[in-house]
Amino acid sequence: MKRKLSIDQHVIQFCRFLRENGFAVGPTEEVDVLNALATIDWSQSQYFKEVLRTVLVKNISQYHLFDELYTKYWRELKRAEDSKLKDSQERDKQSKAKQQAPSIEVIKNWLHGNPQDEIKEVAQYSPGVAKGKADLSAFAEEESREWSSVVRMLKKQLENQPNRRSIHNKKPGKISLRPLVRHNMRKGGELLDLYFKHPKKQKLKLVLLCDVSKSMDLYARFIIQMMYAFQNSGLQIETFVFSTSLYRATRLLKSHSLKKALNALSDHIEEWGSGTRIGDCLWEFVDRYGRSLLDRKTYVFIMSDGWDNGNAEVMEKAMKKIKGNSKKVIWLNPLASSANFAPEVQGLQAALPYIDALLPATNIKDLKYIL
Amino acid sequence: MQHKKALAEINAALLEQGYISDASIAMAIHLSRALKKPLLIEGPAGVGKTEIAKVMAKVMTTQLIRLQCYEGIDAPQALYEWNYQHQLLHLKMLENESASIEQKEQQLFSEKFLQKRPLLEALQTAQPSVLLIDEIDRADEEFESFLLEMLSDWQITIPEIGTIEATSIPQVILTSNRVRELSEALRRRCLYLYIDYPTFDKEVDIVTQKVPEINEFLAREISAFMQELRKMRLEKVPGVAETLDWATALAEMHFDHLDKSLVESTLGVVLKDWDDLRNTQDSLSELFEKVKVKLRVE
Repeated sequence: MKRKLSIDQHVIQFCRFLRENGFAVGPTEEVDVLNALATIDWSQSQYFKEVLRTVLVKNISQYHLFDELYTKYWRELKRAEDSKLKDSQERDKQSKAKQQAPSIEVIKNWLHGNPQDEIKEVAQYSPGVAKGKADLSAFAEEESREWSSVVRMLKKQLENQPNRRSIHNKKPGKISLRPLVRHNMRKGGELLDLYFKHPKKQKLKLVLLCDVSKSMDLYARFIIQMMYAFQNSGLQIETFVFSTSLYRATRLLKSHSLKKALNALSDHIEEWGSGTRIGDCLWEFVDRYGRSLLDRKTYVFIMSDGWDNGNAEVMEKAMKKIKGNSKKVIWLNPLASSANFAPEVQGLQAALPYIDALLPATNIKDLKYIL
Repeated sequence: MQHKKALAEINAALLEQGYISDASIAMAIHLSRALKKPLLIEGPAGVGKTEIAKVMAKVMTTQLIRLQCYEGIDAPQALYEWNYQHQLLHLKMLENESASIEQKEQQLFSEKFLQKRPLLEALQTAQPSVLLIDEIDRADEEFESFLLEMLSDWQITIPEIGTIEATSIPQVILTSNRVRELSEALRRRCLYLYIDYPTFDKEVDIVTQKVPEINEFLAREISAFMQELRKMRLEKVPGVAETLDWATALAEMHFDHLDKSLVESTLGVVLKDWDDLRNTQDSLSELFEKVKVKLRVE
C-alpha cells in the first residue's frame, strides 16, 4: 500500500479493497463516488464516509460490513505509513495460524494434496475413526462433476413439484380460455390472438444451514463440498454455517475454485469446530434473516447431528417459525444412516415436530438416495 | 459551504414536514438529487421508508407519483394501456365519415386514447416529479428487468406512436421490505439507504414531534419501553408506526407515565401477535426494570 495517496487514488484503492471483500464495485461506482464527492466538503470525515457508504453499499449485508471494512482500510493505511505493515502482517498470519481450528486446516492440507495428515488429525478427534475415514475418503476433486449432477437433479426435482399456478402465452399448448377471451374482447371479440396455458415453473429458493461444530468434524469435508456445490449450482440459495454463533457464508462460497472458497471459509469462520448452540443460532437466523429469506417457496435444509448445549425452548420456537414461513424443512443428519439411530438428542427432539423429512447424509450417495 | 447548506436545507425541510432525519438519510437524499440516481431504501416495516418519498415531494414542491408493486404486476399496468372501449366507440362514430383508413387509424392510436399509468405519467410531467416505486420486492423478476430498462433510458417505446422521451427525469425512490432479494443489476443502478429502527433519542424526537400533546417524560418512557421490547424475541417486531399509535392513545387518555396495569391493558396497540403478547405480559416486571435503567443511563 502506498504511503501518500490523492483522494481519487484513495477512492480507487478503497474500491479495490471492497472488491476483495466481495462487494460488486466497478468503474461506474468509482466514477459515482468521485462525482458525489464533488458535491460535498469531503474534508469532513463523516461526510466522506457517508458518501462512500451511500454509493458503494448495495445490500444489507454490505451495509453491516461497511463500517468494519472502512475502519480496517484506514488502519492498514496507517500501519503502512508507520512502515510496520510487513511485520504486522506476518504477526497476524502467525496468530491466525495458531487460532485456526484444526479441522478446516486439515481439510485445506488435504485439498492442497496432503491427504495422509488429514486422516491422522481426524483420528485425534473422534473414536469413530473408521466411520470417519469411510465418509471422507471418497471426497476428491473429480467428484465435483458428480456433485454438480446431483445438485442439478435435485434442482430439477424440486422445480417439478406440482404447482397450482400457470402462465399464459402464445406458445402452443393447452388452450387457455380466460386470457383468450379477455385479450380478444379488446379487439371487438374477434379471436385474433390465441392464448395457451403452461404450468408455471417453481421459483426455487433454498436456505442451507450447516452445523460446523466439533461434533460435526468428521463430516466437514462432506459439508464443504455440499455447500460449494449448492452455492455454485445457479440456484437462488443462501448458505449459513453455525456452531455457537451464526455466520452467513454465501459470499465466501461464490468462488470459481473450491480451494479459494475453502481459504475464504477458514479465514472468516473462527468458530469452526467449537461447541453447539443450534437453537440460539437458528433463532438468530429467524430474527435477522427470516423476514427476508423465508417464504412459502423456500426449502430449508439443516445439516446437523442435533447435539445442542442450548435451551430446547428456543430451539422449538425457532423451528416453529422456520416451518411456518417456508415450504419444507429437511433435516440432514449424518448419524441417521446408522441402523441404531433414534432421534433422542435434545435438539433433534425439540425440532422433530417441525421437520418434513429427517434424512441421512454422510456422503454423496445419501444425497442421491434423497432424490 | 454550499453542500452544507444543501444538507442543512434537506434536514430542515424534512423536519418541517415532520420527518426526523439523520446524517445518512440527508446524505442519501442529497446524493440522489445531485447524481440523478434512483434511491433504493430498505429496512423493516414501519420505519418510514415510504414517508421519505412523500416528504421529498413536499420538499421539492412537486407531484408524488406512486406505483404500488404486487405479485403479477406487468408492464401495461405500470406504463400505459389503450382504452379499447373508447376506441371502439370512436370507430363507430367514424363509420359514416369519409376519412381514409390511415387517417382513422391515426385518430384511433393517438394520445387521446392512451391511458397513462404511473411510469409514463412520471416521464411526462413538466416539472420533475417524485416517482415512488413502492415494495419493488413484491413484483416479479420480469417486471424488475423491465423497470431496469426504463430507469436507464428514460424513454418508452409505444409501437403505435413511437418513442416517447422523458420531458423531465423524475426523482425515483424504490422501497423494499426484502420479501425477495433484488437483482444485482437493479441494485447497481441505485444509491442505497438502509433505515433501521430508530435509536432511543431519535424515537423520543419522533414521538414528541408527531404527538405534540404528549408530556416529555411519557415520551421517553414509551421510547425506552419500545427499545427494550425490540430486543425481545418477538414474532412481529413493532415499528415506529406502533410507537406513535401507542403514544397517541396514551396522550388521548391523558396519562403522564407508564405503569404495569396500563401497559397490560394497552399492549395490543403495539403487539399484534398472541405469542408476543403473552410472552411480554409474562416478563413485564423485568421489562420495567430495564426501562428504568435505560432512562437513568440516557
